[in-house]
Amino acid sequence: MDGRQHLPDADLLLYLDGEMPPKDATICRTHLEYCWRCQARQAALRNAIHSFVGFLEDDYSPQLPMPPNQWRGFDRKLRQLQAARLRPSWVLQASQGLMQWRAMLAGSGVAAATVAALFLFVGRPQKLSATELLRRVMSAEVSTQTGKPRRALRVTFGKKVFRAQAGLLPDQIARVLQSNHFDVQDPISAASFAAWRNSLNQKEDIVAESGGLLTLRTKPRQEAGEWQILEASLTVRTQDFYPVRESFTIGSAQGPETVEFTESEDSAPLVPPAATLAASRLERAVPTGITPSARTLREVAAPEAPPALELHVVSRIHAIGADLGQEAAVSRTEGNALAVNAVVEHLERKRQILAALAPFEQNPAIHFNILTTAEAAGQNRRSPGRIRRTLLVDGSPSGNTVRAGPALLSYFSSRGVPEPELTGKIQRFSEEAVRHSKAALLHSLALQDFVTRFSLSDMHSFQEADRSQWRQVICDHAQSIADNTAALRAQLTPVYGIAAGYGEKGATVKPNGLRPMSASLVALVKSQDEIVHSAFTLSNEEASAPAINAPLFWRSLSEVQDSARQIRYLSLP
Amino acid sequence: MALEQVYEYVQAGIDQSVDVGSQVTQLFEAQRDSLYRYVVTLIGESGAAEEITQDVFLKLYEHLLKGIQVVNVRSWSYRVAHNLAIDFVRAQKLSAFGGDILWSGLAETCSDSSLGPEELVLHSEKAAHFRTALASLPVQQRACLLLRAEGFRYREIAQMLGVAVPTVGESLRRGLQRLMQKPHV
Repeated sequence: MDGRQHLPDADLLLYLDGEMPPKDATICRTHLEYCWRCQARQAALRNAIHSFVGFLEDDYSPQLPMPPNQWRGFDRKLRQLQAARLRPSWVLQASQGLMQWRAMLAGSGVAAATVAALFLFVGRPQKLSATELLRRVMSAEVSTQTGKPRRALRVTFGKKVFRAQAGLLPDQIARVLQSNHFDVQDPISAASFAAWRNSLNQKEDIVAESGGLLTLRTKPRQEAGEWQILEASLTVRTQDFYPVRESFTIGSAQGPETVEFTESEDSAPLVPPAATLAASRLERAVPTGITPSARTLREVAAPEAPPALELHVVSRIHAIGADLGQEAAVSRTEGNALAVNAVVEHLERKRQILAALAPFEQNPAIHFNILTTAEAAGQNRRSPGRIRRTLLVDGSPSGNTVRAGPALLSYFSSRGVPEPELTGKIQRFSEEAVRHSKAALLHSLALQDFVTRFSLSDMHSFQEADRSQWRQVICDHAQSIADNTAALRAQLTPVYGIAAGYGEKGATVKPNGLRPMSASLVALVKSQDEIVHSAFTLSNEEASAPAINAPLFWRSLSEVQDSARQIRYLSLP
Repeated sequence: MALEQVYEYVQAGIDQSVDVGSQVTQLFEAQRDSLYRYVVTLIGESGAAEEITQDVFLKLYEHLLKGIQVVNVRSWSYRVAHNLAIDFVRAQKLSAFGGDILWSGLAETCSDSSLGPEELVLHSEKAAHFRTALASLPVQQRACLLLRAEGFRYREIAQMLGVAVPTVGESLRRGLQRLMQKPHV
């Protein structure tokens, strides 16, 4: 090593790490005493090392995913190794094989007995799932009637049999119903049964048909305390899904007790008549503890929707651009099911949205409300949060009716556009500028909505395919924002040539992290859109937004493009 | 039993008077977090990293039972972990880490932080750059940086990775250079 030449980075690093041979280290040390450049590079290397170690300790390690099984497998595997060490292998194999045969014989015997019992006592197994059965029963309940009078019930409680009106049950039975999420007002209802069933963490369902009746039998897998239901069944008519019987077995200090509800013989007729009092029916259908509101039975008793399902639905809506301007909005109900609401202008668009969501049509965890404006007006409903920005240019505006008119007039005239065509050119130019700006705004709002839609735990629950889908939506929006902003810049630059050079330098420091970045992007695009809208649409009001040739506007264009690209880069796998 | 005493027993080979399983369990509990951090950074899969980390100490147990002496348990465990991780990466045809780690970091940026905007800028900008830079490094450079940050010397790292000592220095230099580069979009 020659101490007169500057030290290469490799030597500086060896010296810093104490890995240099002593003789070379002496030369290195002497050189560093007088060479500023090498001192500066050594300091830079040292800073990089310190920053890296700080990053590992303060940012990286705390955010690492925990071992999914929390090391639970180690003891078991170690014991297996220890056991294998203690026993000859042929003995181990023989005993394991014998145990397997025993398990298979026992299992097959139990399975055969269960199937036989089911067939004899329950009827032949159905392919209809429990969820689907309940959904159909609830649909039938809503579609056939409302305002049905309270049912007269025949109640069997252990060995006692008596008649009672629903809602006027003995206290003990009413308390049992309430504590198990059943509706005291209408215990023989799919909504009531579903409310109890949905409260269970784990359960076993059997649906069977016999004698024109479908029976759903549900048994909780979790341990049940006193007065908790050990098993419940709902029986409905196969022809119209009308509930005719409900029974459950509850645990008590004296042992299991069975309660059964059937409709009394002198109650409502076989096919409930159509009625007009929707409110009373809805009130009776609300499970205990939930405030009644103008919701459908399906919403009230719908199962919870997992985060991945919400992602799939939102992705489908995004694929057809219906997430822009919240044309179709996806939200959560009180019961944590999904609600998809949309009000669209044309029937064709409604069909597009329904077609996109067709895979989820039968999913009981999703409630759909897709209407045309005509249908919504008829039902007096409004869609949430629609952004309506209409171009005020109408007919054939002159060059003086938009604020950017003089600049556009001058631009097109200088390019030899004949006078009769100027107005049309200005109008089309203005419409295109507003369209690009509006598209960027809609995508930035949709991006922010999507980024903030899922919690940390939601995102950790996503599988690999879900993650790809999530990334794709982010990428799409970011790309659209960047493309539309670039198109707007390309369109305006020839007109505002000198001003377009402003704002290229000195970009502000951008926040990191998708949530703050998307919020910052929305703020930027909004102010940008205000300026474009002010310049290229008709208005009788005084302009409040800065002029389009102000440096602020052009700087914001650069920042929007940079931010959009960075978001896209962050979300790439 | 103190960790140093455990190492002594292990270095001496099997001591029939001391339960080897207990020794290995103690070592596992002492080292698993740092080893897991290394493996999960190499391969990006938390489940597989957990399996590999456990397998390292199960192999240690088997080695000790066979009477094989392990001179430096810490170096040995990192070397075995590295080899298992590389086997996994090759089997999965992974080119750079991603998977659970990047997703976890990305998910964090979507959550509602209690930090204000200015604090986020100051705190997150460099972290995001390091995370991206680390992800883009070749496996060998990444491994060298992580092992050096764990305190291993060049010779130890070279033995673990099966490369020459100058190669370790060069990998560290290139890795640091990449970390020192200014972020660009």
